[in-house]
Amino acid sequence: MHPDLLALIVTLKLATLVTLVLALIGTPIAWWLSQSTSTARVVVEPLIALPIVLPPTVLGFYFLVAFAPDQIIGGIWLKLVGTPLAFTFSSLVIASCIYSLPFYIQPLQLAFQSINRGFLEAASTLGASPLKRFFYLIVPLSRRGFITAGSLAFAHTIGEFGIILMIGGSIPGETRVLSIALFDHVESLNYQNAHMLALGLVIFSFLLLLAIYTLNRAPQEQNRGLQSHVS
Amino acid sequence: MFLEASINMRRPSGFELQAQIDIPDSGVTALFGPSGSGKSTLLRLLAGLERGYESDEITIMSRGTIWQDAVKFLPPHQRSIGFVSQQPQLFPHTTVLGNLKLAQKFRPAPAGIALADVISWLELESLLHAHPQHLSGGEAQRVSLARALIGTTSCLLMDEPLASIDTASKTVLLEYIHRLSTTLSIPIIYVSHSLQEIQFLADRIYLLRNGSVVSNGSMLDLGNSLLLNKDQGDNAGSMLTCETLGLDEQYGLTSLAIDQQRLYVTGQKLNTHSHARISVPARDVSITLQQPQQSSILNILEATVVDIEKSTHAPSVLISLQLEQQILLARITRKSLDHLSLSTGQRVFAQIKSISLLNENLLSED
Repeated sequence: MHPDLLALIVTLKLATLVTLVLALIGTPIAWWLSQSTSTARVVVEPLIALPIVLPPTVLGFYFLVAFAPDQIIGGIWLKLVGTPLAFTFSSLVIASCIYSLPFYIQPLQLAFQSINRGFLEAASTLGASPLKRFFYLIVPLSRRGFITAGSLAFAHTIGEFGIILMIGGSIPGETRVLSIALFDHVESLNYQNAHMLALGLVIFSFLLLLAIYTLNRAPQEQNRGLQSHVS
Repeated sequence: MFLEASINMRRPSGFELQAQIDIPDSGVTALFGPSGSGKSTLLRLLAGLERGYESDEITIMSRGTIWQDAVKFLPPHQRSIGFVSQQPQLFPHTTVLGNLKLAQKFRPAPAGIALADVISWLELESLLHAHPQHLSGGEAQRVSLARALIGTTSCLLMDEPLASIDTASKTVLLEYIHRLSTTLSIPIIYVSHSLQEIQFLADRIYLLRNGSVVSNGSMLDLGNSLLLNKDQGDNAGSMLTCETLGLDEQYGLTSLAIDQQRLYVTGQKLNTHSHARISVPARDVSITLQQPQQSSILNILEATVVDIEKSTHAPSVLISLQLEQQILLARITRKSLDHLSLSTGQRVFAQIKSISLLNENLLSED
């Protein structure tokens, strides 16, 4: 298999896995942040936003340290799994989840906050348990928030470079992702392959964003159509 | 008794709510009062949409089950209530039918009210596939009422359901609610600041002011009382129950019997010997001391003055007139009061300028 194709597969696998993990852990966090009046929120919110402002190398450095087998996280991993965490695909998933967390949580939190509380109250008086309210009401009403959050987390993971450079190394089929492959091509002055990868990423990112914007605009146009129909 | 509640709560803003409420197993109980009197808060507490603060003393019991006390709090979705608020709150991502089906999914209660029943009761067949944003305010509230009823097994709570819809739709919806209240075997708790709605619907009234229950009693005792009507200005009026006697074809008038006396309303196709509720605005009732012999006014009732409400400096006073069983209210000027030197116990004649039949559409079904 062409090494660049292998890098593409690793990248897509990573981004998909990270998006799924974030959907599982990020959604409850976003809901809690959107509803909570607790003081803990004051600390948790900026903590989650940290990856947006920190240079990825800072995060990467701390991950590198933490994933070492003689450190807590690396040690627990070694005990549970039996192999070291550092320089594995799993370490990329863990690091990317934290790195992309704000990109998943923030749009979803906004979507949750904009849900009319009256709908939720109505549902509870109709006999809906919190879980039923979530799946039958909150999810469909914040559909756009989920689309935006998921695609941003996915795209942001694909675009990741600094952290992976610090913790992943460049092991083909394991930790060598597209952005690293591109970097390797440039370092070895292989500009033709670098061009191919770079242009491919540009086109992919554009298409993804195009899809998000189109999906998110569709219901709006529908609404506008409805309103003009009514008036 | 369906529900017994004892509320003693205090908001950080300083607002206090103190109420003892008993809701019987059937009929419409109204929580009536001006805005800010605490009636909506009281209803939300009964629904479990608010639970007060730790220092509050709130006990709500329904048929032996504790809904709320110092240690226990049953969330709204476990109370099996129907709740209709001022805004219809229809779920915007689905159709009318979708809204009703969601309610069915939320509360799959075989013992409760069925989907097909509410659709026919509230005549929603033609609206089922419309989206909520296409409905008029009145239609949306009708759907909201239908949705609240599905699967409900304990009671129906309504919080100013007619407050934000236009007058024409109000009348229509009021009749739907009245019909439901006679069809359903579950109690209804109805919050409103509108005297007309209360007089039309309620069997019992709790009158609230500034967070306290000022008075409570049956519609017959309290509905036409000065206590309830004195702040109502031009809306003050009495609701009377009559028996229908028949249509006078020559003049197009229907005669009604109220206690032993006779009233006439313009042509209505009413079943004879059924009950009709009429509403008489107090400002359309005038008083004479002798029976007028030559007057164009048809409806003249003999009555006894039982009470006079003199607001300090208002130019008009409200007078409570006792018919045989029922109370008729009249609003006259203070000048006339002095001129006629009216006092309690006096026999007078009340001339009624206008009467509206409240439940004309419902009558044909009686």
